[in-house]
Amino acid sequence: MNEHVDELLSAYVDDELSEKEYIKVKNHLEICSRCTGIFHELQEIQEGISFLYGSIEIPDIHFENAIMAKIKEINPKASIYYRWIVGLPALFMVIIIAISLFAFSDLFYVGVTVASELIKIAVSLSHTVVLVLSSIPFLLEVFAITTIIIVGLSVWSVRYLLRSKTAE
Amino acid sequence: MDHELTLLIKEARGGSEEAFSALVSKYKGQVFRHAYAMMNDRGEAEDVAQDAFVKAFYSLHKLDNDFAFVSWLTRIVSNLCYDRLKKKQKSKHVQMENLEHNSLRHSSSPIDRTNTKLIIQEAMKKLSVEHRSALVLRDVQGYSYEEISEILNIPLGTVKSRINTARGILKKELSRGDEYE
Repeated sequence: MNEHVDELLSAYVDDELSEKEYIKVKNHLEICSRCTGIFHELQEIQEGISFLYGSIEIPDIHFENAIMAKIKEINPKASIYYRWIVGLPALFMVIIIAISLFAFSDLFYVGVTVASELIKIAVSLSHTVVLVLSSIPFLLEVFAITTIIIVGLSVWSVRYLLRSKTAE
Repeated sequence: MDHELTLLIKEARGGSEEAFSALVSKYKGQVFRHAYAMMNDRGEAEDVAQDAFVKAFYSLHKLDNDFAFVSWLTRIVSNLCYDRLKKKQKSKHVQMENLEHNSLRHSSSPIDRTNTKLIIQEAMKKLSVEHRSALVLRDVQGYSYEEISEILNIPLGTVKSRINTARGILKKELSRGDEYE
């Protein structure tokens, strides 16, 4: 009888033997009931393990949720929602400014036009006043004499008041 | 690998939670089964499987080849199970919870199937973390010896030897079950 092939049977079950080894085991199993018995046992163990773990109940959707929660817990910045929380207000502001500029562009243009016209009017008025004043004859002389009279009257009034106080 | 998967990986790498959640839904069965077969406890298996996905999310940028995503994910869960079991082994010895009182009958009726399942589950606890890892990758995940060698980063001969030894231990344990029948 051939030598027993115990050490090769496990790999034979898995079809992981070289061609030479495979033929050796196959030929031996045809004549050896002992090794055939072991081979069947190993096959049964393999099938039992596959069946046992292949038939276990797989966790439901809570499994995915728990993983995503763990990921967020470790690094909230990795969350795409976090990015939205930070990015959304900034984006919103930019959009609002863009919309405002676009929607109120006419109003903005009118405002600028009115302001520039008002400035032009003010400049024209000041020119007019200067022209009117320069067209009056002896204006400077009249202004100077009036100023002297006013200053003289003020000085006299002050002196009068001081003298009255001392007399009392 | 289908186009949808590469797209999901690409989007998830860009930070899309929706895409990553879709990846989790697609592979949670595979990852959870692996964790369950290693940990032999539903709660712990869920914990490890969740941690594996969280780790994968933050390490996606390190994945050079999208075609290797599944084996890469398997390596992550395998390493996490290994670390956790090693830590547990340090704190206390693995319990042999009444293995001797269980029995095994070699038949395929539904009742016997259930019984066999229980006994196998108990017998799996007898295996070392190294032996269990190799066997789970082969019999639960269906990887070839060469793929297991790459995932566990061990020589091909060691994979063959570990699976052979693991099955030998299981066979012995199951036979002991027969003796108590």
